[in-house]
Formats: sequence, structure tokens, C-alpha cells
Amino acid sequence: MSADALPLSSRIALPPVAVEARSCGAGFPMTTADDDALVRQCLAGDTSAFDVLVERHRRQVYQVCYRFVNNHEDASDLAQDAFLRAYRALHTFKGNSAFSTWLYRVAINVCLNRVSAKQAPTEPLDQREHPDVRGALPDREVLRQEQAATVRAAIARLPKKQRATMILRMYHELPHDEIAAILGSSVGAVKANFFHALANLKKLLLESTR
Amino acid sequence: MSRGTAKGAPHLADQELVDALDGTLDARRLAHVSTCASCTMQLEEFRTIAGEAGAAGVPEPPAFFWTQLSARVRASVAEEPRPGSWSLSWRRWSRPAAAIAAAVVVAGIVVPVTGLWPRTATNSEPPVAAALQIQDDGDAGEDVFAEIDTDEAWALVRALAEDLDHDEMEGEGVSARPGAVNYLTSELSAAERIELARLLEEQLKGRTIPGPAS
Repeated sequence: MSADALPLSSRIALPPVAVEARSCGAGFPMTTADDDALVRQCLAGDTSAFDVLVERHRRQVYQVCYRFVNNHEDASDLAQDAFLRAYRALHTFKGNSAFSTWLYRVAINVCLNRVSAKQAPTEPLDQREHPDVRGALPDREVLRQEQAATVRAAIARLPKKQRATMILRMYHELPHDEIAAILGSSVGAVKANFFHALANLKKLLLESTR
Repeated sequence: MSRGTAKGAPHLADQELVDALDGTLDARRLAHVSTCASCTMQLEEFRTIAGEAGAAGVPEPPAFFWTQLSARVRASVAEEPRPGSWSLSWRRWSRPAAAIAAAVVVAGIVVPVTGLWPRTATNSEPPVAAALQIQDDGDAGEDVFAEIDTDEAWALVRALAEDLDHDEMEGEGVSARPGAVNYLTSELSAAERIELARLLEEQLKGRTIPGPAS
């Protein structure tokens, strides 16, 4: 099972951080500092604090982007761009929401602005998994991977707002009101988008089995 | 999407179906589901789809990718000025004016006053609504953002927008939604952005903005 298919509570374990354990002003190591403290540290001029934030959140940001475009190359570029834009706008983070939520907002906006609805994002069959070890996998696992690829491809074909709503709701478990704040919509619109996303996904998955 | 009515009670509306999936549907409406085959079936279908979607993880990239990504971000950040350093310097003197200027930008007041606005998505749609429409259906602004990142004149507008405080704007009588500045960014040409920035600077300095040319 891929990491992001697990419940959120199981996914928040931080990846190993290969950053030198330095003080974060208050006398505790930077690697254990909370996100808000790292933001303050960064705004005070210590850009290595931003390195820690990147290492902490890069997987989630990449996954948001990947689900939008359904291919590694574009997701990689979008994730880099999202972090750069987050850095530029860091002084606007007021701590009213979790840093991760704010970062999702930046990433989603980068995706919404960069991904053309006309561009049909595709995941080439030969790159659906890294690495390709299907030959060594049991049939059930091969089937699961193929189903997952089909679902990802279908999600990537949803209209952008529906896609964004689905990604934030399904995979990042954000409540409707936070999604509404990120997308600049009402809670009602977010729920409607989620409904239509599921309805469209159903249609797309049915089409793919024909 | 309306799904008609069952005997005695209407079928679940779209949002109610979402609430039912979330487990937040009120008891009275939930009672309807238990007696309505249509709603039960739709809810089960949605549960199945949501389950399939939830199980579709993202492929794990090669192990070296994460350090590569961090290195790329670090390199791009190294070329940037300290975050907020530019806006901090002028915020000291422009804070009271920021809300006014931001109101001008977001509400698009400058546009009808000066005749700057050469094109909108539709004649009847306000800019913000048009922006939301564009985000759903089009690809506006794909590369404009990269271009304006280096546009010093536009930096003033961006900084103003970034400093927007929702409550402060409400106090100014302006209601705006996220995406409005992105809309302006993607819709204005470089020359128009420069002109808008000039007008804002003048307003911030308390000068009189010249009237429309025609």
C-alpha cells in the first residue's frame, strides 16, 4: 500500500531529516521545532529553517501535485514551484491555520494556475510504478496497482475544481470549510464539487472498463 | 442535481449525500435513507467509488528524488531575497494606505475610473467571479506568473495583495474572494500592470490620480 493510501493519522510520521541539528532560537534543535517556529526562524534570515520545512512537507506537496497531473515529471516541477512560491510568500503566513494547510493552498493554487484543463494528463503505462516490479508481484498486487493507476488517471481527468476538492478531501482529509478557504469557494460549493467529482469518477471508471 | 422525491420525503440532495458519506447527515434525513432504495443505492455507489479512490496511492518515486527535490528548492530559494524583506521596508509607512490600495486592486475600482480595462471574461461578470470560472475551465495565466515574478512594478501590487487582511478589507467595505489578484495578474498586459502599479503608487503617496484619457 502506498504511503498516502493510509489514514492520515498513520501518515504524519515525518521522513528522516538530514539537516544538521541546530538551535532554533529557543534552545531546541531545529529538526524538532514546530513549523511556526521554523517559519519565524526563516523570516529572521535563517534559510536553513526552510530546508527543514521542505523536508518535512515535500512528500505531501509532491503527492498533491502528482494527483493533479498524474505524472512524475510535472509533479516534480510543480512541487518545486510550490515551495518557491511558499518561500516568497512566507511573510504572509500568519499562523491562523496549520502551516501544512497553508502550504496546500499554495500548492493547489500553483496546480490550478499551471495545469491546463485542455491538457489531458497521462501516466504512461510503462511508468505507472517506480520501479516496475510487476513481474515479481503476486497477481492480486498487479491487479491492485492497475486499478490504482486507472483511478489516478480518472481523477486527473476531472475538472480542476472537482479534482482539487477530491484531492484535498480524500487524500489529505481536510474539512470542507478549509477546502472552501483554499479554493475561495463556499462550503456548499465544495460539497457540490465533491458530489460531482464522485459522480464523474464513477462515469469515468465505468468507461475505462468498457 | 435533483433526484426527485420519494413517498413522503424528498430524496437526498447532492450535499446531503456528501454529508451522509461524511457521517454528518442529520438523523431525520438518515431515517429516509433507510427506507429509500434509491438513496441507499446511490449512497452505496458513492461509498464504493470513494473507497476505490482512497485506495489508489501515488507511486513512490525513486529514493533519490526527495534529496534531489530538496536540492532544487534550495537552489531556487538561494536566488531569492529574504522573504518579506521588500514589503517590510515600505509597510512601515504604507500600512494605513494598504487596505485602500488593496481595495482598489481587488475590487477593480481603478479599472472603470481610468478606462484601463480592455477585456473581461464577460461583460456582465465581475472580475472575481470570472476568475473562479477561469480556474475551472481554462488555462489562463499559465506562464504569466513566471513572467511577473520578475516584474518589479508588479511587486508592489503583489505585496499589497499578500498583505491583505480580510477583516481590514471588510472594514473598508470591500468583499473579495481569493483568486482576484491572480485574475488581475493573468488578465493584464505588462504595460497595464505597470500603469496599475503607477496609479497605486500615486494613491499611496496621496497624489491625485488623473482622470480617464477619454
